[in-house]
Amino acid sequence: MSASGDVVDRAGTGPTAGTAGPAAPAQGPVLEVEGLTISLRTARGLRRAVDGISFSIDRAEILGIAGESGSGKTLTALSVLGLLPGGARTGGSVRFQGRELLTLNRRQLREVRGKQVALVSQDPSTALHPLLRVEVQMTEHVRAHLGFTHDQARARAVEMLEAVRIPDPEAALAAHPHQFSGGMRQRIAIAMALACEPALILADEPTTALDVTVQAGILRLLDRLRRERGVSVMIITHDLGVLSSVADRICVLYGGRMAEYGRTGDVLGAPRHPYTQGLMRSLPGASEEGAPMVPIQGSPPSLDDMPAGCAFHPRCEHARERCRTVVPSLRTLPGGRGLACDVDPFGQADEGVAGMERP
Amino acid sequence: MSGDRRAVPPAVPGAPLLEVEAIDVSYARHGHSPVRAVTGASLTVGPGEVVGLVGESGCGKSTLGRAAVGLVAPSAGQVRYRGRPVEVLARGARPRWLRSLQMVFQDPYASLNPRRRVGRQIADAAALGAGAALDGKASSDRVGELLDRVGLSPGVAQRYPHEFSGGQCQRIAIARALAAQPDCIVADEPISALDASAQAQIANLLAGIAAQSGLGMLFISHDLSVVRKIADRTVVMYFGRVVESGPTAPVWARPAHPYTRALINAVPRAGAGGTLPAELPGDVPDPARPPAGCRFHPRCPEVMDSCRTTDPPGVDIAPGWQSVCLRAQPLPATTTGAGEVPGAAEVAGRPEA
Repeated sequence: MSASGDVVDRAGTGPTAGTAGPAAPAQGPVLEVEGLTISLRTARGLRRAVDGISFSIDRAEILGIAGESGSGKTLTALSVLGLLPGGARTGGSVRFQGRELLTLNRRQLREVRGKQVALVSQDPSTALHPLLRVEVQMTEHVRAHLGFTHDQARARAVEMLEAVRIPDPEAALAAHPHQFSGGMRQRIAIAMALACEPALILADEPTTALDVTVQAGILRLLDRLRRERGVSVMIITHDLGVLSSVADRICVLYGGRMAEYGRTGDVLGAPRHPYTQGLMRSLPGASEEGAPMVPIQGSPPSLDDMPAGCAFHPRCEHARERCRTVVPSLRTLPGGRGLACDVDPFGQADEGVAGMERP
Repeated sequence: MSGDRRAVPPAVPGAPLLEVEAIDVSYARHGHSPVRAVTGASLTVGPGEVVGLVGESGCGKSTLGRAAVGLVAPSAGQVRYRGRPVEVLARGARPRWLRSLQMVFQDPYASLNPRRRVGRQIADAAALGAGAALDGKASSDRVGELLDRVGLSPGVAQRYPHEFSGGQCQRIAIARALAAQPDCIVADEPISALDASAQAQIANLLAGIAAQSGLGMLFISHDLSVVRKIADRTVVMYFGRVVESGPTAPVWARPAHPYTRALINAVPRAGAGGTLPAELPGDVPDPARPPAGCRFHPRCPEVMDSCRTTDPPGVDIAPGWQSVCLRAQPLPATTTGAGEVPGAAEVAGRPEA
């Protein structure tokens, strides 16, 4: 919250007033989240689960949200869709194509949800009704949202199944979800999400339940969709390897706050926040040949015992006295990066690269 | 219980700790012919050795793991523990000599009783491991010691499973397995349900236990990069068969089977700088209708005509390293055993990050 304003890192892209029409090409970012706070009712009272998150997603951009359980990453996505659990209180602003979503009523939200913003969840079987044929599920929302006839909706469904490379789409439409493998089901779920040609796809752990071979196919698919259709994607995952391969920019969340953000190569290539650094060192794929994985000690905090000061301080080997009491503010760094760490133990090398110390 | 089920038979000298020899496992299906989930699979686990078993879902790796501890019965072949055939779990108690062969499951919330304090659950296993009920002090000391070994404070014994995170629950499940004083642990996807930072913690914990106590470990995972870090040997399964097995480092550097190569190239790497992982098109075939010839041929990028008809034999690439592929060639003796394998990066098809 303290630094919510300076987080949107592209200069000169102000709020896009006047682009309220749903089909209007987005001038500025497709999605702008500013100073988002979400408080949940728990047994012990109201707890702030998301605290001052800000980011934006451009057209055809893939933004990665990295975080572990309890980081607030899924709540952030749900707030865009107006799907927060009952009793949740929100603050800040979530603008989709310039239109504020947090204050929409249910009818207005229905216009956006599923039509302009689509959700792909971790478990494709939750997105598909087990008793209905794929055709029913893939045409229903197209007819409802776009007013298509049955034949038009069916043609759209075939087109979308082809786009996600389902072999023999006609046969797939006649089948039930259980007749497909997990990877195929996730493709069908993505095809459903695409059917209304949304401007934004929210993909919450879209490949976590899948094998690496299938995961590679889904990641390539998302990348192709943004290139060919200009779809923007917000991909939420704890797998930095996944983000590294598809995301243009990433935003690392910890304990409901932003720890670090910036271009993917910058953030993962030279992490500045001790948490990002720790995640990288704990990755088997990222550490050097023969080097052991170095896990971060401890567990992510739960909503009921969020530490004072920096939420990461109890697990941080660089923590100082100040970290225990003062919430670090999110500072803007050169190159469109941001960092919320007052110690900044990995800062110097990067500053040098940016030309502040070395010629 | 008959007396001989309680007796601990002497280990057969010279036998590996755990030996899976050419097993088939079939599942009966109502109204259909049975499905062979595992076909002629073999592997061994020695003391202090971590063997990683990898493959896509549905390849039979979990079934193989379950057969290895006697949870399912092989329809052909044999599983031996310390040289003696593993008895399949029946309605009676598991024979005591098999108690030192333990299993850790994927979902720690499902494998722990939600309504019992974790200390009690570990104490039960400790009493079984000791062969007699422990008195209060001895029991709580042992529980404290086990919790300490898995990196938890002994004070947490009074809590219930829901009070812990996934990673902590998996530590408790491991403590419970260790309470039975195992010589060998089969861990089925022990880290895939956990958060990023907990995955490395648990993988390191299991590898550390194997190294420190000379315990053999069969580590089943679909996450190749973790297996690469902690396994001494890697076994790759595809569609019920072991297609490649060998020492981890050379298998990674120079995978001999096209499927192993495809798996390795599909792993996304953090810091790879925007490189999309390589796709392996197609799905695992319908288990009721296995393809003729090599089972991988419909998806294999290097398929030859003979692959469609000939079931490939295992080829010894180097001592202890086998690939089941018609294209597989033994390595010349000069390169085997050397730490570095020439051309490794090209074969892996991807520059190192």
